[in-house]
Amino acid sequence: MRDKNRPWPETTLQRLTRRTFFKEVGYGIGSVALMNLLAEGAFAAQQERHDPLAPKKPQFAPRAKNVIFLFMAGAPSQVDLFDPKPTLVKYNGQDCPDELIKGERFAFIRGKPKLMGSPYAFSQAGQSGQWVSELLPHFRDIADDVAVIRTMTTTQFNHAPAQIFMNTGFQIPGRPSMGSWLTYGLGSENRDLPGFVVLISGENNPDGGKGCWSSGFLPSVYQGVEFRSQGDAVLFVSNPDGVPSDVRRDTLDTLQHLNSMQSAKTLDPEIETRIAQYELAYRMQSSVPDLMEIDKEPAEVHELYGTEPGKKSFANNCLLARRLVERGVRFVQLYHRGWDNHGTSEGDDIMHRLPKLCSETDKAAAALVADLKRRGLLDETLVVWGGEFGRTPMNEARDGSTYKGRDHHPHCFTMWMAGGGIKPGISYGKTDELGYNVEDGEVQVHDLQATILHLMGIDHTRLTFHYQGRDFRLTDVFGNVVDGLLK
Amino acid sequence: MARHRLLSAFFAGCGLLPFALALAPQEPGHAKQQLFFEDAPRIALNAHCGVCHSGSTAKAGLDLTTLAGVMKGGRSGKVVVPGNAQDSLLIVRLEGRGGKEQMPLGFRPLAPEKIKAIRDWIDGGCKSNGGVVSHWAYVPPKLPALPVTKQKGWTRNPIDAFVLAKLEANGLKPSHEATKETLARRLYLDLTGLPPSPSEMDAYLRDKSPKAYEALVDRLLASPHYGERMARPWLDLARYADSDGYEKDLNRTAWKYRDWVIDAFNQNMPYDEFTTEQLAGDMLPNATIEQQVATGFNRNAMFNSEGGVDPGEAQFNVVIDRVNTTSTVFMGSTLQCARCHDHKYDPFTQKDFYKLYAVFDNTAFDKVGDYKKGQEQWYEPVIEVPTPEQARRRSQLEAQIAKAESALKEPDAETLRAFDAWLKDAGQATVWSVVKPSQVTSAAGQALTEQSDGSYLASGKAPANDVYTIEWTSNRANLTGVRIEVLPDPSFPNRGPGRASSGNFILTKAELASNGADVPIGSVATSFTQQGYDAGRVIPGDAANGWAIFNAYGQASEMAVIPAKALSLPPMARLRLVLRFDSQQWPEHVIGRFRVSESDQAEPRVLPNMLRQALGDPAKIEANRPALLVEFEKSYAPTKEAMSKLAAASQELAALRAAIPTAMVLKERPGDTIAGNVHIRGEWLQKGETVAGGPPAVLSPKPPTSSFNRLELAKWLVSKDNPLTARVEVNRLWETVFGKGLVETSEDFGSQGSPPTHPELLDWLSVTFMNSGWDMKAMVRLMVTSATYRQGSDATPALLEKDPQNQLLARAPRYRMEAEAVRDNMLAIGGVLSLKLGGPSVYPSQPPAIWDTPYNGQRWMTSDGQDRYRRGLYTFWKRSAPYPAFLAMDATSRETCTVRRIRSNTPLQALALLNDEVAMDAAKGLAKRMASEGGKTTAARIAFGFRCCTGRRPNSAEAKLLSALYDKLLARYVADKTAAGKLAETAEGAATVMVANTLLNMDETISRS
Repeated sequence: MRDKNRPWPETTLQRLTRRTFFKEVGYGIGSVALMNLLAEGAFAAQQERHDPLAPKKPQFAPRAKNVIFLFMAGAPSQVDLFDPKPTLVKYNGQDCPDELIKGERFAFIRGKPKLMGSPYAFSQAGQSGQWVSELLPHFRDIADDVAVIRTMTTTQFNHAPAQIFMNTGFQIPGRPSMGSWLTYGLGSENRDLPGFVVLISGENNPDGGKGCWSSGFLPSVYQGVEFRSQGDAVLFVSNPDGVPSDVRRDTLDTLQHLNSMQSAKTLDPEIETRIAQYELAYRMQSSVPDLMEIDKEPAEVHELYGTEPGKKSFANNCLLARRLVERGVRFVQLYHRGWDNHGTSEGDDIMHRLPKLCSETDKAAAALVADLKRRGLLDETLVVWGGEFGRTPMNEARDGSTYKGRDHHPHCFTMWMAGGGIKPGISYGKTDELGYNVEDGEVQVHDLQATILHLMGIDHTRLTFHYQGRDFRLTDVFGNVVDGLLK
Repeated sequence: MARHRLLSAFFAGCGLLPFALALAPQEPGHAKQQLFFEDAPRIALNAHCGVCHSGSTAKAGLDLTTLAGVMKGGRSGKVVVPGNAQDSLLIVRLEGRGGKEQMPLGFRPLAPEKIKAIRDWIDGGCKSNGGVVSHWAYVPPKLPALPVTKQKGWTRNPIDAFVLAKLEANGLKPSHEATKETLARRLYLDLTGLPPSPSEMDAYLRDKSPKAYEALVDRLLASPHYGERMARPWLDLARYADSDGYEKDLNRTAWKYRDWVIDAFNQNMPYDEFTTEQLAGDMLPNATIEQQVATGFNRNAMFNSEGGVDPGEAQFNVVIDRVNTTSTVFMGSTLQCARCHDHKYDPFTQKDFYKLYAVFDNTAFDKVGDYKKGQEQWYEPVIEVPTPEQARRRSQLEAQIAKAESALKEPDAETLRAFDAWLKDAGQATVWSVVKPSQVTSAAGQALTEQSDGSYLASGKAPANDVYTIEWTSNRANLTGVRIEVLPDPSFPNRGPGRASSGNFILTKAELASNGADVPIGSVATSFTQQGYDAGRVIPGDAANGWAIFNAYGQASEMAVIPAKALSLPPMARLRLVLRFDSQQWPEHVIGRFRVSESDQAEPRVLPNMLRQALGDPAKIEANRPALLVEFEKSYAPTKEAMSKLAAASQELAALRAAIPTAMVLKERPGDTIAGNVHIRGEWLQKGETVAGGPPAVLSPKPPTSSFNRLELAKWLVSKDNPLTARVEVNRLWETVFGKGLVETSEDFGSQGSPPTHPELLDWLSVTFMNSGWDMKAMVRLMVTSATYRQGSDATPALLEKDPQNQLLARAPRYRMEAEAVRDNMLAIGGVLSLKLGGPSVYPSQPPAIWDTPYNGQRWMTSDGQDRYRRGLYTFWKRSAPYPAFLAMDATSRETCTVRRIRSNTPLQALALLNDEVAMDAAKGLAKRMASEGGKTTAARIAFGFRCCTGRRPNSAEAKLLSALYDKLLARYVADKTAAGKLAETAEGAATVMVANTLLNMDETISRS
């Protein structure tokens, strides 16, 4: 039966994907855009597999197949790492000009703050001559592969909303994250692992919590799956004590048989899907441990990344990220929290804490890009590095603190991207002499999201999901692809 | 709380009486309507073209979302020719004619009927009705006549007539009634969320009376677990959680609201009251505590207390959330779209949104902390919700305390006599002789310089901590006390006598020695001690306490150190006094100037500063009598005793208070009028025109007024001419028992939602619901006693072909249970589920390291005993890190209101059901039951386990498969005792556990069918 009142795509979907999970996902909620993506032939494969994560054809030829997003939660200081400001150094300790801060709201600064030049030296690296701070010696090695975006801006200046905004395009939790959108739109090449994997190191989980990798109103199959460095890498992936693998296989054989009999009786297509998902679960029981065994990598690789198997570290996670994209996982996101360098103590200032964070991450991030490149994976993998906002060119001096630190700053900050169709060896955009505002080439968060989707072969205005009465998309009603970043 | 309502009484015994209502004459049929832009064309153009062709950045300069825009055309000129659709550019492009790409670009073409509607509108001359939007959901429902059906004898109540009529119109027949086992299990799961035990099932199967089914329904509706089951989806609507959300995600005490919801369902509170109390219970006359607790519904909004957040903005987001949630839950409307601009599809304006914003922006909160220091926080009200026993004890204590306080307020005659004696006695004060030290040292190296009055003055850098040692030779025979005077000096901040930047000091320890031997100190007395400090702590020594003098700056104070026993001194005794300043919290709190004296008089004492300063000046003493009385009573035994009794009562009250649960509630700001600003583009700082409170204009002709508060809003929502409230709720109740609403998009009754599959049935139910006095149990009862509900759920190839989504209800729905129900079902089958109702949220086992929130040290402490096995709805709900097994099964983070959970089917669910500790606990429990209750043979035990899981006995093929599995596992575990030992005491036990694990994972076990 076709209900004439129903919008067309869902009727079509219902006719075509009778045996897929979409029936339960309901219909009426969405799947509009997916049909569009499926329209060109990938559909047959989809129908056979009954699998929402089956690979789907992009809308147009993609530049990248996979994304690794190195999320520096807490917000790194752009003026101490990538955006040198000699003028700021010159006026170090002087009052911040009134015209910059008039009517401005800060998270913690009160009264009139003082300018603070970076205490760190900058020099040019590589043939491209990219400027980089002395805190990032390893970054110099990949400077020619990287596009540094100095002119990022955001609308949020508190951590949780800004992280949620960077991930979901909206500052209040509840919408799908970028990784969810991409696996929803493109599926995943790997049949034995989730399509969207999250790895965490640093002080804590990110401020935005699990909302940072939530599937929002998309089906939970598109939720980011956290691979943990403690206990089971994937929750519940290990058999309980006393259940050897062959016992599990035997019980599954019986279970699948019983379920097939139910399926034949009830004709409920969900049962077929469930049988397939139990098989995938069983395969994950070996594919996940296999993935996590980084100690099997040669010594040379451990030296390159600075990995120490068994530890919870950013370096280990970078190596895991490479192993994940090698296996065709679509979206890998690393979180390293701790960049919130306010300067209220030695534990969060830019003289002690910032160098430590750099030494925790610089080598491994550079190694990841270099390793992907030598394996020929950089062309098809987009690496993104950055936090949720930037830091003020002024010293925060909260309650008269004498430790150097910087407050939250949404008006300009630096991110970098490499591989996957990115123009290498460039610095994009111009900030003002003090590193306070963007002068030229602003890249808003929605622009960055549009660009990432574009590189993956998706028009950000056409990856949509119908929910609560309207079509939603990652970029809301904003976003422009930044052509200047494309190769 | 419960009102007895007409309908439930009617339906309790027989299903037919109310049908008379339904036979009222039907409304005359609608005349064929003229097609206006505001009907189908506007909706189609908005939905399919608006993404590109709208607003100021419209592609090709063409705005297709407004009548004016469509008529004006774009850069290519006019797009419609009134009366000539065929040649209108809009139609040409939508149909893909004229050699250009078909619109909308990149999307599938519009459905032919939609293009036809636009064509008809153009051919009809592009008529407009002046902007009036007609949409079924905004027209109040009327009771329709029951349709006439061909098939006789199937219908059990009016629901069936509507369903059958639609089936017949589509050439379908209803399915056979499900088996008794299936029906019983379905009822148990739908009405209580718990499976029937084999014995409950047997009892039902034995009952051969014609009303056995209805009797079971009534029994289950009366079960306290009915309230738990109905609360489950409501808690998603109410975004109920036990933490604030956002970065810190601090824990909050919210569970009293959860228990209120359970209780309201169990008491069958009518839906109009249920609505009113949750929205405005605090504003009802003489609101009870329970009615205030109900307002937790909107207090459940997230709140961001991240450092650096502007609390005003955080509160703005809270109010926005309340508008969004209230509109979604009670109106089924996506009003949130109108936060930033007029709604694109539905007839809600941005002003409508802020009329409701004004209603919710009038609630009270407290501001604490300094905004200028970035420390300001806003708190909304919290109330205590004591048990009757706690309430009784609380008022007893409060009375005791009040009595004691008033007794202490006015001194009695005896006290006054003692006071006068004390004043008189002051004249004969103790004689203290200033000593002449042989040595005075500062361990931290301050210079201590002797002054002409015999005191010592500290100078040099004030150290963080210090130890002063004073030694002198005494020529007295007895020593009864040593006095330390601390003296002001212009060289100190605030003139001292301390060296801290305030002028304060903290003496943390005093020691006395005679000829090198320690002299135990019995007591100390001071002329003044800072409130909150206990000078007596200098005797044992306490780095966090001691003698401090905040506020007595620039004046002298004294402390007498009294030995435990009066000391007989040998001639020329060498005495040593050691003063320590060890405070870690307060550095530099050292005494700046002091003088030491000794006495040999009995009971030496020091006078309060005030008395000492007034000594010899009767006028001054008279003027300071009240203050002196206070000083006197500090050492007056009867008063001290009364004080300590008061302190004990206060302490008990404080402890009791800490044990009394609290609830988060709304309070109205008194006196204020209901008005707020439109916020341009929905932004906090961009304020537009002021609007008063009021319902959306399209739903009510009432103009906004400054008296339209939350209570008025609630009254309007539950008034009978509101077209949405009843429809939205009966649709949700339908969804609860049929898995899917008649309006599938239960969150959106607007033009972008799905239209009802059975519009007349929806209206019939809505009107019946209102006429019954909003009786929820009666409505649920009506639904589950229908023949429609009682059908079997097996599909046939023909049915799948004709109605794959089962919209016509030719069979009962079959679907996987919700996250919490999967857990409850599993634990109940395993015989380990706790059936305890209500109470604080619990912490069942979950894998380690799930909680790790910045700036929040709160940890998951796994509950003990039965709290590990409570029903899922009692699990602590932390928004930034929800319970993982629930998250895997489509539970949400409860950050915002969720009307419908998406039902997905993933490998992570399989892993959780196979391997989670909870799943294994259930399997072990079921294995035990199979062994103890299942009978002697393996086959019987397997059959018993199967029945626990599915409600039915296994067929022979199923039984054979499971027996074979058992045999294989048994052999395996006999050969591997170590593995077996990890699951059970014997190999048989281990094999049974794994068979139970298999049974619990069957699709049938986790599905409601």
